[in-house]
Amino acid sequence: MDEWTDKNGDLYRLDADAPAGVVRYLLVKKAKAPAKKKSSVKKEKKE
Amino acid sequence: MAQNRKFQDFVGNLYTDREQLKSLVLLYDFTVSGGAQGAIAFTDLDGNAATIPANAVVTNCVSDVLVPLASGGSATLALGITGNTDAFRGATAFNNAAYIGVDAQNNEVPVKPATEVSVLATIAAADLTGGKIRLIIQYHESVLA
Repeated sequence: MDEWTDKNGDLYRLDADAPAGVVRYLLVKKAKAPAKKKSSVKKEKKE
Repeated sequence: MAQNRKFQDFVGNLYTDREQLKSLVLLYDFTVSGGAQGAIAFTDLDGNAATIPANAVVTNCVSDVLVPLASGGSATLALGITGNTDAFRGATAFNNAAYIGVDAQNNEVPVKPATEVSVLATIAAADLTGGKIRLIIQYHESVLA
């Protein structure tokens, strides 16, 4: 498997420059962090 | 012996080993694999590739740190499998107590990978500059797939 995606969306690719006999995957694309949800509670206006 | 082996190959796991707990003893050795950031596949004790078979149910993972991990920075190490790099241990500082001596590494265990997978040491934040870990993994092979 030369390329695979981690469960969180990070993309890993086989490192062709790894030493002989070593299987190493490089993180080539970091998954985007989930957008923060806006609070559903409206701020109360001060009277 | 050869005949037995041939018989086992023919009959398969479904009829011979379906109740047997199996184990893998794997190794990460900095002097062999280096410590550059990325996901490095553990090998068997002879340095050969080793994998967990598809549909195996992994029931336990224990680490035995033979040489303490070292880093010139704040390296983290996660232990897992292809597609789930923190199945056994989420990213944890190299000098954390979890990586000293013998410790259970069962973050998401039990796990059941759908395909044959490698066991990975995922290094991030900084390179490792030393360390040797033996990983002992126990699993049951699937009898249905």
